[in-house]
Amino acid sequence: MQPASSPPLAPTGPTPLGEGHGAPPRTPDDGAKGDGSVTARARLRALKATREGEAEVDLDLVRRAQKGDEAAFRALVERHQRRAFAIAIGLVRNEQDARDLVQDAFLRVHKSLPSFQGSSSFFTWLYRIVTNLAIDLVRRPGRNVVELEEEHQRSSSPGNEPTDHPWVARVDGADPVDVLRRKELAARMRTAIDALPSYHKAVILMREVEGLSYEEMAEAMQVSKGTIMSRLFHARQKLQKALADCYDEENGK
Amino acid sequence: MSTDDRERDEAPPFEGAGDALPSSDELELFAYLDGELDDDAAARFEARLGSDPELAAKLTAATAIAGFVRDDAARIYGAARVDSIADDVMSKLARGSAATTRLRVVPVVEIAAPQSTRFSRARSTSVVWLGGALAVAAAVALFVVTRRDPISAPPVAAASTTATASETVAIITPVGPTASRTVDPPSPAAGTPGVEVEDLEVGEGATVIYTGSAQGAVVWVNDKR
Repeated sequence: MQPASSPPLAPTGPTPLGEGHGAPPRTPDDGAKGDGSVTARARLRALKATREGEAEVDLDLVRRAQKGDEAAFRALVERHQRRAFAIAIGLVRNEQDARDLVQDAFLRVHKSLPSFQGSSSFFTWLYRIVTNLAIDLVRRPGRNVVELEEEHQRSSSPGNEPTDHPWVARVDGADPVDVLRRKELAARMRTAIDALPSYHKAVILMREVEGLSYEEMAEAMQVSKGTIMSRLFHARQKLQKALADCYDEENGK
Repeated sequence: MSTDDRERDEAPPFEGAGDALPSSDELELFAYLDGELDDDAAARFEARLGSDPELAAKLTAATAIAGFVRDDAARIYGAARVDSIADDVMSKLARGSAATTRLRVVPVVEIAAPQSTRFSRARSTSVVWLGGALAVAAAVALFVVTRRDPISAPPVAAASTTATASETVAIITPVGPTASRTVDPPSPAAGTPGVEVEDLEVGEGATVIYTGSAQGAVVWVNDKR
């Protein structure tokens, strides 16, 4: 039995200064296949070790940026822009909004650099800013979500099926030619993800997309680990219910 | 672990009154799924999975959900242009820096303009008063000239030591013998023995002080408004 704990989707990587663009997003298959020789615990340890190395580089860059080294600040942005964007777009579901939001987050980071003491890691600080900005944005009255719906429609167009929720084909055992069924299931899950409360969406994105530990998420969201576990549980319950409802309907229940 | 950490972790872990609470099996399952169990606990859980099909099914479903979330993130992330964010941020910082420079100037201008206006108005007011005062002083000077008192001193020292930033000082020096000594700062209240001092109020904000024995008259135009 293989748990799905896996490395982060969005890139980060212990990237040295000047190479900080990170890797491309992980493909969905990465999380599905897993690695039978490595336990979830071991993978988490490896991930933490990687992050600790990254944190040291980040702190060095922060110290330099605090002294006015703009190249160092740029390196920080380059190292974390993909991660921040992955969280932002997952929350606001609109590319332009996510871009604006991430830029705003980095500008706020730059403004607050003098007060950054390094007691928490740079990326959890950045995640906190991104998450709070995103939640503020999605709660804004009258926010237009038409673009997102249009984007969904585009992504569901005939030419996009191969990239549309490959997990659906795997879990339902598959009838890969049943395009309509896969699309329906993907759409239901998308709707369920969209419908999650912001804080639930944030934790499940941080966990499943970025691979953050409970402790890291608690630090990023300034709540207890118990609250993180609660939010994760409820988010998963809602998504699981959507999945179950879909299967029930298909089975005529 | 600090006290604060313990307090935070011991806080009621499940928020949302009315929501279903997870069973201990579910908590353990998610902790296993998320790699949060230590090695021993993970091994025990895996042993249970082999003998508990329902638990195994739950794990499969939870794993599927994780896959859906990642797929969805990959789908909306896939076509996004991300690399240019750093360029945009640095560009905004550069523009912000320039704007900040301008902002450093703007308040000065904003502040200076009213000051300038006030100063001009004050100066204008002062000129009016000065004109009037000078007219009075001219009359006084004429009076002085006609008296031709030989004991005199230029009031410059007096003026320079008593004038403040809010005062305009006019020194009227009629033609006559040069003073051989200085006098104390003129004061309307303290007349120098032998020297006739007149304090002529010429209106609000302006005072003409005539040091009677001097060869000139000192006119203070006080701008206290």
